[in-house]
Amino acid sequence: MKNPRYTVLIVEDNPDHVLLERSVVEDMDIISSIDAVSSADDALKALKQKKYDVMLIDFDLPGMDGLSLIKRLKRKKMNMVIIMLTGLGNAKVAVEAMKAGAYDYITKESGYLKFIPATIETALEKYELLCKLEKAETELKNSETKLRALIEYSPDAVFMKDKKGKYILLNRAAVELIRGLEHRILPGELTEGLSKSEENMISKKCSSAAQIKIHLEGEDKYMDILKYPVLDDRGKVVHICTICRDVSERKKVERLKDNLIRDLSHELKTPVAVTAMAVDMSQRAIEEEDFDRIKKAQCIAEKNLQRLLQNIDNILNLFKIGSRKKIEEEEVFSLKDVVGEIVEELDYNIEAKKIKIDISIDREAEMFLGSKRTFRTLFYNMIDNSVKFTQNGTITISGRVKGKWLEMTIVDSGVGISSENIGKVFDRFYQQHTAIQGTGLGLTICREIIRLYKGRIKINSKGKDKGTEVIVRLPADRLQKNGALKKQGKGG
Amino acid sequence: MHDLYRDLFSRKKGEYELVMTYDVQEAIDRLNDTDFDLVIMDIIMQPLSGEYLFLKIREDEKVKNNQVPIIVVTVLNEENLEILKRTSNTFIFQKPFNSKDLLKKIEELLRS
Repeated sequence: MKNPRYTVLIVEDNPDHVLLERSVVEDMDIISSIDAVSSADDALKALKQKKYDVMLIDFDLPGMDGLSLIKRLKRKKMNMVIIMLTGLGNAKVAVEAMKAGAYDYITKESGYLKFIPATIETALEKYELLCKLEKAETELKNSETKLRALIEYSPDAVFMKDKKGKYILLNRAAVELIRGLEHRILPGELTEGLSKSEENMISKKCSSAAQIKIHLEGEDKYMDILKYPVLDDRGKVVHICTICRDVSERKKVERLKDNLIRDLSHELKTPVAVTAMAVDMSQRAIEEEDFDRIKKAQCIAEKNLQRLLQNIDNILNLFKIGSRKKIEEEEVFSLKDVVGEIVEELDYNIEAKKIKIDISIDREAEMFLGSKRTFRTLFYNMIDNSVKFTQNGTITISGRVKGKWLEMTIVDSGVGISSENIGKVFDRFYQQHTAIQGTGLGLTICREIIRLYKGRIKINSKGKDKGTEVIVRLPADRLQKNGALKKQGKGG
Repeated sequence: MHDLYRDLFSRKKGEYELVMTYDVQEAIDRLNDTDFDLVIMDIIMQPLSGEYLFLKIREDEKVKNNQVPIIVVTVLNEENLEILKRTSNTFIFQKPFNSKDLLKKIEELLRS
């Protein structure tokens, strides 16, 4: 603190005293400048021009006295070190001056001059301390405001209880949560008063974490609840803080992931298992020289390997299609041919289930621009599904142009979808145990493919055993006139 | 899978009456109608799941026999089949399985 930086103003009407006081103050290293005025009014004027850190004010002033000046300065909230100088016998004034805000006072008795530097220094120390304190208080207030805002607007619900279990802080999210649960009993963790575990928390100073399920705004929501005791600096528990976070989305994603893995493992393992068993079956048939059975076993094996390949394709497509924005590998191909190939692949099943297949695709609805492989996947899944749910019936596959759409329809006379079933789609058992709303991986792929080609899919059923109708619409501008190859720009 | 079952049971023609379906709802309707002696099912099925079928059989009063022996044939590991483990008269076979073992189990269950 040795570099001169404090400015001093002496308010004294006796010029001799001014000189003397000036000389002792000049010797101080920390003082950078000294000015003097002879009246309170002059002092006020001087203060308008310049900032002074220290003021030596004499009580005995013409006009306004020193004490009144001090009071004036305090009213104006001027922040500086004020030292009052009074004549002998004026102790009462000195006390008043201190009360009014002076840091110290000096009585003008013989030898008083040597006390001035020390008094100024002590006063300045106090002053510096006070300034630091003020700064810290402002900073604290600012940070407190920031923290308060942080807690108030946090998306997590924050509840704070005192040791008796009474709420002392609830942020906005907490209030909304309580309001939302209004007509229902608040789960134990969120009520006022202390629960057994909370009392335990106070005595053992431990924290707890739990997940609860609540019903809010018509939905089931999952909440992570973290509870911990707040300690003072002596280590005693003063509050209990509860933070409540909505993790329903995360739970939903976790469940979808689990279900997806389940479905995937099934779609891959089952055809492999069936093939293994078919091989086993043919082993025994060879031993018994039952050639019909050998043939049957081989058909089963072949069919299931084909199915396995298709499932693998499905899975790969599922991951690729999600990220694909542009359609790749486009060529002009015949929808009729693709459908025919698939029907042939599924021939074994079709025959076994005594199903009659009818294919009728209009000439103008035949040649299509797109990825042949993707459409094979699309039709395989849709026709396979129809075959699965039909016994002793017919499946009609047709294609025609309707306005600006190519409309492909697959109608089967199979089990259909009863309105009862549609209700069951939302049954809680069903929701828990299947991943994608009721259709399995195959039809999910179909939906994705159709979306990629900017088409629409619709499923109709007149009820149980009344068959199902699947209508797929695709943009007709992808159709090519038979034989002619139109040049297309980047896929559509 | 149905082909394999058909082959498996072709040797036992006359001994059992076999009813097969791909559709869970149809299975439930049949079970509401008739008292079957044995049910063989997979777990992963669509659009209604095997768990759904299983729970319906064990808990729905409309089903003729809630205690009918059920053999669950599936690719899933036993750890994933919690609800099933809690019940009696339920047996789990993992795919691929030895058909002789399955036939033995079926005979055992139908004898009682």
